[in-house]
This record gives sequence, C-alpha cells and structure tokens, in this order.
Amino acid sequence: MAEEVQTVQCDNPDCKVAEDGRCIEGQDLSACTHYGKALVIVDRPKWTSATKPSPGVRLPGSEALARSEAQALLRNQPCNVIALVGPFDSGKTSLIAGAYDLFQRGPVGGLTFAGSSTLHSFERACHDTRRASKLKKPKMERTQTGDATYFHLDLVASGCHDKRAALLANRSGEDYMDAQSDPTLSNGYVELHRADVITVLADGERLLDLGLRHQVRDDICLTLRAFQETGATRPWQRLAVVLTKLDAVLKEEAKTERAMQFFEGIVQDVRDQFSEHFIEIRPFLVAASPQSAKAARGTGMVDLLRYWMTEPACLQPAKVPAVIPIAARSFGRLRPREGGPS
Amino acid sequence: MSKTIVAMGLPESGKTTFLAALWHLLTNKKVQVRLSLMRLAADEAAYLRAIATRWAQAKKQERTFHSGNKTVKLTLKAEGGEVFDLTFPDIAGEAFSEMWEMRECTPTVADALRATGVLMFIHVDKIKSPGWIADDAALAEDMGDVQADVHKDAVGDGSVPWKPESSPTQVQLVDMLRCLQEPPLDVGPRKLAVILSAWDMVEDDEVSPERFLEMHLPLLHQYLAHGLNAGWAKNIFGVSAQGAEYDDVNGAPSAEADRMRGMEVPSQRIKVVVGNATSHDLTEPVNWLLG
Repeated sequence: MAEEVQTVQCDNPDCKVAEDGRCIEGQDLSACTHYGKALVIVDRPKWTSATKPSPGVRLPGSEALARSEAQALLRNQPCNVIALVGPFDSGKTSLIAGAYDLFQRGPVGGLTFAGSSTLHSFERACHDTRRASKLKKPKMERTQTGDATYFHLDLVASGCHDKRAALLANRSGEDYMDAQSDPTLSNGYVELHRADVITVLADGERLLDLGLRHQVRDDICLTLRAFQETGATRPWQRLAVVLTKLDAVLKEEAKTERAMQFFEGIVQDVRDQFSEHFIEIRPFLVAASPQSAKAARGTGMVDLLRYWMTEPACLQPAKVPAVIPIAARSFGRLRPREGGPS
Repeated sequence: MSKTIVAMGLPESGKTTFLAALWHLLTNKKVQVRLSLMRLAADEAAYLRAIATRWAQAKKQERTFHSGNKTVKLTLKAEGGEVFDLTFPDIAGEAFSEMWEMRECTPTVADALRATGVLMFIHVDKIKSPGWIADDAALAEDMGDVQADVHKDAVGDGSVPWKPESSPTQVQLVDMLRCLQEPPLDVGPRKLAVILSAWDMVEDDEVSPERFLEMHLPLLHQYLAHGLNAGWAKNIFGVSAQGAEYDDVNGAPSAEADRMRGMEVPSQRIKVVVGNATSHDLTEPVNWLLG
C-alpha cells in the first residue's frame, strides 16, 4: 500500500505555506482557519453587455421651461406671454391644463396645435382630470413655490402659416398674495413685465360663500394695486378677469345669481381702479375641468384662449416718418443718386 | 448608392410584420411592385427569412424586444433602373417608448434616427386615447345615473400617479417627431410616411387614412399639418401587411389566420391604401420615401 502524501495547502491565495512552511498570518498551523483547505479559484464574472453602462444620447427635455429657456424661446419666435395670477387653489393649473387639453380633440376657436416643448408637464398637469388617474373626481396638482415656470404651446391661427407660441407662466398663488403685504416682491416676478395678457382669477367656489367672496375681491384688487404701485405691469397689457369653477357656481342654483352679480361687481371695481393701466379689461366665465356636470369641460376656455393669443399690443409696428435734418453746408445737402453705387 | 430609412413606432405597432411582408413580397414576385430585389443576399438575411416564414404561416411575429434590434440591408432596384442599398433598422418599440419616458436613446438608435426617410407606424387598434373624468360624469348624468355627480366626496382609492407611459398615443408620437427636428437628431428636412398598420381592422369604416388620423389622432393630425419644420414632406398610408389577425405565438389556429393561409398568393393578403387608391404593393411607402 502506497504511503499517502498529504499536500500542504491553504485557501489564502497570498499564503506561501507550501513553500516556506510558515503561515502568512503568523499563526500556529493547527490554529489557522485557512490552513489545510484547498484554494478555490473562482472565475471573474464576465462583464456582460446587459450590465455595461452605455452612454445614452440625451434628447430635448419636455418639462416646463425655466426663465432662461423661456427667454430663448422669446428670442426665436413670436410669443404671447400669459401670466396667471390668483391665490392657491383658484384654478391656475386647471386653466393651463384645460387650454392644452382642448387640442386633444382637434383645432379650437380657429387655432391649431403646432407643437410643444413641455409635453411632460402638460401631461402631468392633466393627469388628475383624466380617466387614467382612476380618480372619481378631477383635481389639480399644487403649483410649487419658487420662480415661475412656463408651459409652452405652439399655435397657428386659421389663415396663417406661421406659428405663434403661448407661454403660460405658472407661479404659486402664495407668491402673488405675498405681494399684497410687500409690493416690492412683484419686481421679481419677471413674467409680469413681459406678459401680453395678465389673467387674474376669481375662484367661483369662494364667490358662493358670503364670507369668502369679499376676500376674492380684495385679493384681486390689492394684488393688481401692488403690481401697479411697483410698476410691474405695462400700459399696453391686456387684463382678463376670469371666474373659474363655473360648474360649482351653476350647481348651487340658489346662489348662482348672487355669485354672478358679485363677480360683475368685481369686474366693475377692477375697471374703475385699473382701466388706465391696461389697454383692455375683459371678464370670462370658465369651467376648465368641472367637478359636476353643470358645465361642460372646457366651457369658456376657447374665448379665453383666443384672448390670450390676440396680437400683442406692444409689438404693433408703428410707421414713423423719417425726419432728415437739413444740413447747414451745401455738401451735406447732397443725396446719393437712386440706383447708384453705395 | 446607399439610402437609409428608419422605421419608428411604439411597441407592437407593426414594424416587424411590415418588414416580413416586404421581404416575402420582394422574394416571391407574385404581384407587381415598384421596387424589386436585386440580390437575395442581404444583411440579416437569416432574420428576414425567419420573420417572412412566420408571416407566410400566418403566425404573429415575436416581439423585437426579445429577438433584439436588427439592421437589415437590401439591394433594390427602382422602376427607373436605379440600384441602391436600403438600410432598414428594425428597432424594438421599447426604444421609442424610452425616448418619451426617459428622454434618451442609445447611440445606435440615435444613428438610425438620423435617416432622411422615416416610416412612422401606428397600430390602428392600439391607440390610447385620452379620456376625461368630467366627460364620463356628464355622460353618466345624461343617462340618468344618480351616482354621476362626481362632486360627491368619494375620492377614488387606488388612484394612479402620473407616469409618462400613461400619456395618449398621439402625445407620444408628437414628441417623437419633435425630437427628430431638434438636436441631436435633427438632420434638416425629411420625408415622413405615416403607416396606419392593421388597416383591415378599420377598412369597413370607409374613411381614408388621412381622415382616420384626423378622427382618432387629432393632436397628431394638427401637428403634421402645422408643426413640422419647413421642407418636411408627409404622406399617410393605410397598410394591412397581414390581412387579418394571425395566430398567437403559442395559440391555437384561428379561422382568420386559416383564411389567410388558404390564399394561393400570400402577397395578396397585403393591402396598401393611399387616399382612395388601393394596391398590394407594400413597397409604395418605401418608394415614396426614396423618391
């Protein structure tokens, strides 16, 4: 019977015990937990293409635009800027989402959809009014505080070939309301300076409440006054005074007439106080995303959208007659010959 | 000469079926077509044969997602005698979903999307249209449903937060076209062939492909009319590359698929509608893109 030869081995790959008889950890061989065990060689895992990170090609974004992105758009194509002003939950996001959603079923009010660079934000804003949300009643996401963001729609008016962009500025209601106590804040609301149409919102639901309705009027008038005192608005701007949530007003039939009259009173107050500060003031009644069947979805939105897309008053080209000063010297009165070399 | 077109579309929009039917049509020469095959040898010829065999057997194609992206290259001859190589990447629809959802694509897909000819596939039976809670409530109230008042305080449990994939088909397609017109995919003016696939499912409606698009994808229809950059050309085709519903991968034979298998000339399953004209010539959209 052959003598069994015991192989000296260790499962620590750095240990040279087989060569020099010493444990690399300096331990007695009988006490070492690695000594006597076979070295297990494991294949290095293959770097498969599935796990290899491949650099993706970034595509244009689709979220609401920051101020700098909106400015770039303003430089590149005709734009109407619309500032939406109202307290929290007055329906600003509903108006933005409602305007976009109108085009899901075709052209509206002589306007045709021609693109958008903020489709993700529009879709997110619309989601809670859509069946896909599985909600039983539509709701709207709250606008985040911070600088205004801009929703972008390219539209083409019937009979025209060129696109005109609508940039809908969305800022949290709290920011605008803060301007009532500190009007200087509105100097930082740059969307107001450039807006072609300032849209102030009167929450229809609040107009039904005898106590809250006065707050609605104060919010509108005091906010506009803060803007005016700090010079945040421009005299060529249009002003839309919008009663939102018309469906809620119509649903409370006993209170409908009173709420409507109160809204007319608000519009009259705005006209009395601010007519000289805007080129035009117009009221609108809107149910962008109704929560009851008392008004159809999008009621009043088409008129409002057309108003938003009216040719901006500030950019009307004016023909200024050229005044050529008469030079004192005869040489200065010489004119270049028509068709001659320049 | 080399020409490249790209087939794009959301998952299961009919891209691979189109390619399978095209290969069958070109290799069998049973119906008159505008483009003819010059050589049987082609890049990914085995793949073409495999998908064309499934097509001839009236069996549904395996998803490209599982079989991997393929780029086929065919040598074709136009009616005027011009010979050219046509490169046709068959990209999984998931790659296009990712463009919408993640705002990125792989470099390979980006390269393919720089082709000047674009086939955009839309399956007529897989259009996700937007629907509104308010409209449902109004409809229910019209029908006398007392529960219709959505103002009741019952807020839906199990509401679903927004995800990009829940967006309507037409929104995703508009965004896809916008991406083709902006860096890094912008290559200037292109030709766009909109392929309304599975046209046999809607042909009883007796509307033209253009009218179908206007009725069922109005946002996309508006965008095609006014949103494309100057120099772009578009055409809309109704295409039935299968002729009917085919057998599922592991499913039992269906009567419709049997009817297709029973046709003596499989190429006659194909139907291409442009305006009011109908033919079996599946090369028509490709020929238009290359013209």
